[in-house]
Amino acid sequence: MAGVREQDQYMPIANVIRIMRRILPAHAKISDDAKETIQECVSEYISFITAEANERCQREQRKTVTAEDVLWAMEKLGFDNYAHPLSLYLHRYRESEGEPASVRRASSAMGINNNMVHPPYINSHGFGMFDFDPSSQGFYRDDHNAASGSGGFVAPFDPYANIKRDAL
Amino acid sequence: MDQNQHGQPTQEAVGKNQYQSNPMMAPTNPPSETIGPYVTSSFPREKQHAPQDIYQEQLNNFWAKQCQEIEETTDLRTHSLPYARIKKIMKADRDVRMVSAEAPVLFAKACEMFIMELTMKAWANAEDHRRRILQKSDIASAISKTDVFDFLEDIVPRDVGIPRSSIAQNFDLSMPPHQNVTYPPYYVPAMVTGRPIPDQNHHGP
Repeated sequence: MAGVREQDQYMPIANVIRIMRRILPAHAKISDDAKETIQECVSEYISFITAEANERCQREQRKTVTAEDVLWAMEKLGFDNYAHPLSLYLHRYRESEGEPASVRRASSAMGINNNMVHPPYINSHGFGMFDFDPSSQGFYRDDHNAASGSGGFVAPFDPYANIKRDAL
Repeated sequence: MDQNQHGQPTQEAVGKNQYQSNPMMAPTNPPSETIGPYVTSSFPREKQHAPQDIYQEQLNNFWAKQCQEIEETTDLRTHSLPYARIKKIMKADRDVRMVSAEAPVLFAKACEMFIMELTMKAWANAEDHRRRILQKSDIASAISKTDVFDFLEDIVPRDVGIPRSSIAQNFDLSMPPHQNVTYPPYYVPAMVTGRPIPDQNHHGP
């Protein structure tokens, strides 16, 4: 129904409100129309960045929008402040997957802008984050099911996915 | 609040102003057709500068804190926004074919920061008007004041009529009150877009 589809267009309102409250003082109140407006703005933000990232993807004749495309699009569209913390976040996320060497090789193979690499952050934290169970990552099949159009399950990061895609 | 101490009798521009600032200027800003929903303004992109020093300081603290939080976070599996929903929104664009698993992960963090930045700026507007309830007009004001949020202009005026006075207050030094707040997508020489001269009425007696 319309309600279900409408909800799928936006981030869950509870999550949005929780994030808003993290930056607001305790006595602040949020009107309902403000909550809904932020919801709409977030979806518009995702669509705006994604469209730019996808254009780059297509120019380079690739099929898959990657995190690097998203980072590039943000800088292109003026969100410079976001690119730095997000580069840091992406690197830490890859560390947490437990195969940093492969990721780094894959990253350099893709010709990622060196400006996005932050060795000092990596070195300062080392690699003490191997507390994830590799078996919990499951199978990386989601991209292959993209044609079916199902939202479905977002698979965890596959460190070899970039290499596979490059081979195609 | 601190803002009350910033009253100035003169109408001088405060802070960094990259563009010609001329209160006497009559803006030539005819309504123009929009090329598309994702048209990017040809204004040179640069670091955002808040209209007042206090906002700039808040902004700098915000971004420094974001990097600090990312460095200190030990469990990157915790996220505030569902990946599946993000991916669904990304793929709502039919031109988008496949999305790597990392892209929604990155967007989850990006959207967190986006929500907080927009909320912080909107709240500054509510405080300026001595309110404790964040309203849609505060968000509209925050969007109008920030270049990179141009793409959101369509979202706000469509649903709610923004009180003209609240918008006019923010722009009365750079354009007539009747001027449409929506900006054309192309470069307008000497237009101080998104960085109005601080309105002294907010702080004066």
